[in-house]
Amino acid sequence: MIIRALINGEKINKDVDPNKRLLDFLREDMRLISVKEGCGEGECGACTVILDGKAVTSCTIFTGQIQGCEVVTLEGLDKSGELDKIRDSFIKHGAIQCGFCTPGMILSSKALLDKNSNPTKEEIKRAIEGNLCRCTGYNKIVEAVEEIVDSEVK
Amino acid sequence: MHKNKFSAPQTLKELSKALKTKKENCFIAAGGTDLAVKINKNRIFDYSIIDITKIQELEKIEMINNSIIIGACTTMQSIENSEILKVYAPALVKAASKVGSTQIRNRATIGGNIANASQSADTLTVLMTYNAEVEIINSQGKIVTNKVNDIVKGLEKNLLNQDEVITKIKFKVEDNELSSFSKVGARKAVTISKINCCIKIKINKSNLIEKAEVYFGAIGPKPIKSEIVENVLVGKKFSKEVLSVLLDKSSLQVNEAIPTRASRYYKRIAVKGLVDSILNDLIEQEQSLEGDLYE
Amino acid sequence: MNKKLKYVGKGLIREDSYDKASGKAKYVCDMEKHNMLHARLLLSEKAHAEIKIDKKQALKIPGIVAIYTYDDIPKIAYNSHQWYPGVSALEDEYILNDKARFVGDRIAIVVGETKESVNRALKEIKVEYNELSNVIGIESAEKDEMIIKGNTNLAFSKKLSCGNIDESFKKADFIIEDIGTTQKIHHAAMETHSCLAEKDEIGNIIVWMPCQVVFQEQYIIAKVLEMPYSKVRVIKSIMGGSFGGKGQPILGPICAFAAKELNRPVKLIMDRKDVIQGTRSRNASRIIVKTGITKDGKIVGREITANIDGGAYYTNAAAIALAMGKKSFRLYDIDSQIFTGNTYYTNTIPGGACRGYGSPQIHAVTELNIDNAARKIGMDTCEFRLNNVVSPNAEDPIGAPNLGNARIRECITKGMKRFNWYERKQLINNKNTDRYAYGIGMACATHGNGYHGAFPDFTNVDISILPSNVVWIKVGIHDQGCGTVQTMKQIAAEVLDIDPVSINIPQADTFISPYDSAGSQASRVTFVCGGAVKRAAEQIREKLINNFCKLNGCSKEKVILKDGYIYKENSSEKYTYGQIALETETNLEESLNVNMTYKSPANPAVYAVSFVEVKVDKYTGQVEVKDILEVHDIGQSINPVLVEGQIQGGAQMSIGMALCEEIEINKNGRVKSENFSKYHIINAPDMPEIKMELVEKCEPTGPFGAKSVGELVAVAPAPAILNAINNALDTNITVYPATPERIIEAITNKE
Repeated sequence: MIIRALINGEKINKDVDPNKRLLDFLREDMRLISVKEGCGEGECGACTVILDGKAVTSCTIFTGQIQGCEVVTLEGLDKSGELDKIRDSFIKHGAIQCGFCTPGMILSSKALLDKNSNPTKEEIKRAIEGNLCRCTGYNKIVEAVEEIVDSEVK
Repeated sequence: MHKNKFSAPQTLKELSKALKTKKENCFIAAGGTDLAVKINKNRIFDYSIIDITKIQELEKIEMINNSIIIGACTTMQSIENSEILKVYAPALVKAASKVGSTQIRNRATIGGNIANASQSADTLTVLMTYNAEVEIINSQGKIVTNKVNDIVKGLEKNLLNQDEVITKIKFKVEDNELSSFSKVGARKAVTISKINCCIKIKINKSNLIEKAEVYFGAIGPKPIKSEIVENVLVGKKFSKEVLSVLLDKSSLQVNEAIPTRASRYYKRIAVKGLVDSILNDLIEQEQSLEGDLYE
Repeated sequence: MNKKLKYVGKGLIREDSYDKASGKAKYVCDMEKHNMLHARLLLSEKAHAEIKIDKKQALKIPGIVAIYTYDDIPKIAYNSHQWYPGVSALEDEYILNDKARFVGDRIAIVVGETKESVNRALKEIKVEYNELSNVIGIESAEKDEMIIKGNTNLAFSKKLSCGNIDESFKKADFIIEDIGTTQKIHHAAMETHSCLAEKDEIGNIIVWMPCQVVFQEQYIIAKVLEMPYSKVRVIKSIMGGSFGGKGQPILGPICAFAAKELNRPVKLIMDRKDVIQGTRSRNASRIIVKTGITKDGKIVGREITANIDGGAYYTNAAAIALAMGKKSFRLYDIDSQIFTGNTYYTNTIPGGACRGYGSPQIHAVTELNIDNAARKIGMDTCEFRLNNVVSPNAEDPIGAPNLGNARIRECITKGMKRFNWYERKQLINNKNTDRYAYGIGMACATHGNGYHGAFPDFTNVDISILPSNVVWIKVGIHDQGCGTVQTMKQIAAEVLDIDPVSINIPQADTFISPYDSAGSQASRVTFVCGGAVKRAAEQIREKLINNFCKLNGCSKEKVILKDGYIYKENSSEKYTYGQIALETETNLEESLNVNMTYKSPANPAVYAVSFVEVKVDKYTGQVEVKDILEVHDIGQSINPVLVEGQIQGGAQMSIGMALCEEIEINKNGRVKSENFSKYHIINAPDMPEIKMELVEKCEPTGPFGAKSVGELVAVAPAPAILNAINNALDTNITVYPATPERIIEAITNKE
């Protein structure tokens, strides 16, 4: 099936298996390797992408369902420069250890910040409740997102 | 070899047409949060999909007269943020806000939650409390209405025909109605209900409970109605006073529902926590209601 | 530390975080090779069975290249715990096993052109299981009714002791006994297990994988494929977490075998269910503690029996028992103590390293027992501990290495002050309501620094200063995600007074890294490898200065190294180290290079204390950790941001152990918690903010005074939480995890 969608700002027009998980399409067909698989059942959030402005787990979506939609992965944020501030804050705060949950964690935070530029600590925790991390205990991740908030407010 | 098909109707008409060819191993996909996982887990390779998320009219939340109408593809996130539902069906808002994670709520739909018919589905308990109905369309384009209670079998089985799809959820609301929902799982958030509960009450002018609907979920294949608890409430003055009887009767209800299961020892106590939280929430709702009146 | 430190002790940014934060970091799952095949393992669905595998139908699936079973593999048994041939341990597993001994046992590998063909084939393989009766759980193993192998299920048993326990118990006013159990735990590194192997043009096998000991992988692969070590190249890839879970070779040998047979690159990936069932777990245990105390609060004797679920293969049966035992002698000063460790075979997931290696289990029960002892005589639990903890530089009573600069006492007193212990103890009950009970609790813990005293603990370092002005350090380290490379850089930078950015430390690769005796495990990396890097940096500094003097005709005393420049005192002519490296080559005909071996000089103990306040819902049994303070005796932090990250992450694991994590296995051996929807790790809403205090009193045998932190962090919070719950409810819950069900049961039983 021909899929037409906007992926990381680029219009694509591609013949793909629509029944494939979006996760597999992004990793295998689009080579967007920042999208990680950690559980395959929507529980860990490593495969999070932003679909039409909302954070979703790409392992629970069929590729055919993105017809006419916009998908953003970390590669896209990097390209557009939107990643800079959030990345720098994650790095500065030591919010990254093994890095495997990081892309999903950043995208969930980004989806929150796009809608709510001044979230509370509880709102940040809720935004990343579906992103599991075994290394950091989340503390530094929450701090990193909080600082972006603070810097934007100032 | 089976050729994998994928269709995404944009109207109900196109949906009926698509349903004409629906056979074994053809699945209706809404949010996909359960379906995609199941397909991957069970290693199903040859299947077709009818994606109903492109049918725009299935994403609306409306109130017509005293009826709330929710499109089957409305996501948990939309329900959680719906101004209409916040006012008229707070229990549903609460239940939707406690389904899965943020990412899951952004995709999971209310129609999917019903059709999937999991024994711990959170919105089912609320919908049954509201005596909700569903509109179902079939391959002939015929629309029938049925009670949620009648199409949910539980334990991940529904009673829909092969060529049927839920399109809308409808229920009636009344003035001076309060409702709330509570659940308990293994964690505070992102957790499957071990037991959940919805209570809806109508209060009359003398602050007496005129009507009460109570359902418990996850203590049977599907939510069960609790007359025992309803009877405690009806005719009582609405206040914290009812709490201790309410807690005891809720325990009793759980015991009656699962007299032999090992989980009863836990659930009959845990239910008190749910009912306590719900009562506190209802009292808060009532106070803000009064506040509105005085404004 | 008298000298002011410039790079050590600073929260500098780790270099790998840029790639990780941009999604560019390539893990094995992201690697592709030309002509690469995909592979997956078929894992047993039965706990104990003879198996017959019919692969005919599966082989017909388009794209399937090979399916191997026990019949196809070299019959060379190995023990995946063995990291070098000197570790004696029963060799009882094959790269694919002949029989199913647990749900998750490796029984076949499927290799195909695409992931889909492999998945299809996995479904088509017919396995005929001839089920045998099984052994699930320690109590079933003890009965020896069904014996899994040999003539008893008791795989290993050993006693460790000091003093005279019978005499000491006679002196005791009270003997406090507790029985507690700990659960099997999944490591839950977010990256699943993976491996990529290929044969190069001259017949070397090259293996990329996230692992903790490349030389162990090399040894086991060479052994089972009957190849010389020198033909096996293992490259540690970027690792998405391990926590011990990727410590034992599981995928390496079988993946290398397939690549060698097929002469094509093979990528073998596990999904989450495979990892939970088919790799390793923290050993479950049942621990009985009897502690003899006097009325005035002195421990006079203690008897501990730890019965351990070793799982279906021998793996770490001996090591886990000994690890638990040794810790028991290094926290409190007890004249007479006897520890008995028994490890049993069961038809469940084999045991392996898991952050803390035995410490979380043993402290989980002994620290509850200590609270009960204090309660018995009406003494404050902190004061009781202060009465009994070890002192700095004490000798180990069973002959293990000296405890070093053991600062447990400071940890307790510092923590009591910051936590406001006495006041909170007085006031905590005031918070109680009909529904909620509040409580506070604390617990102590100890861990080690490497293998010194038990196994060879040395590493080799090859350090060079290159004309391009880069300090190049080859040492066999494996960054598991915690920032090991950055730690090493800051140590070398401090010695050489150069920006860590100019230091390059490639990670372990058996063709590049000089030999390292034991890998990135046992909390040895900062202490031993860091010590080695420091010594090597000192030696090359010496050589740099000597050469500078030779080349410039001056005396050593007058030479200054600062900010990456070397110069004569009061001279404006400054040289980069790279310039001296070039001149060394040109004029002295040698490289500016040092090769050295460093033997660990000691194995001091590290200490931690956790203080916790909990809120317990007496209806739902849910526990909220309201406040948590972690106090750590770490000698000296090399990078405080990394240290904090360890403490916070370790607390996440330990809170999970206390409250919700458990690999549940039913009586048929089936794993109920086979994915994250049923195996609950602590997520962001349930994670409290971790308060931290560091005690930095310099361990003289460690680099710049540093000692380990990364494993100890996962020990004390769990017993502190259970102590707090028991304090809130006036119960004695000793079963981990304290799930809502268990809490309600405890409340009900009390009533």
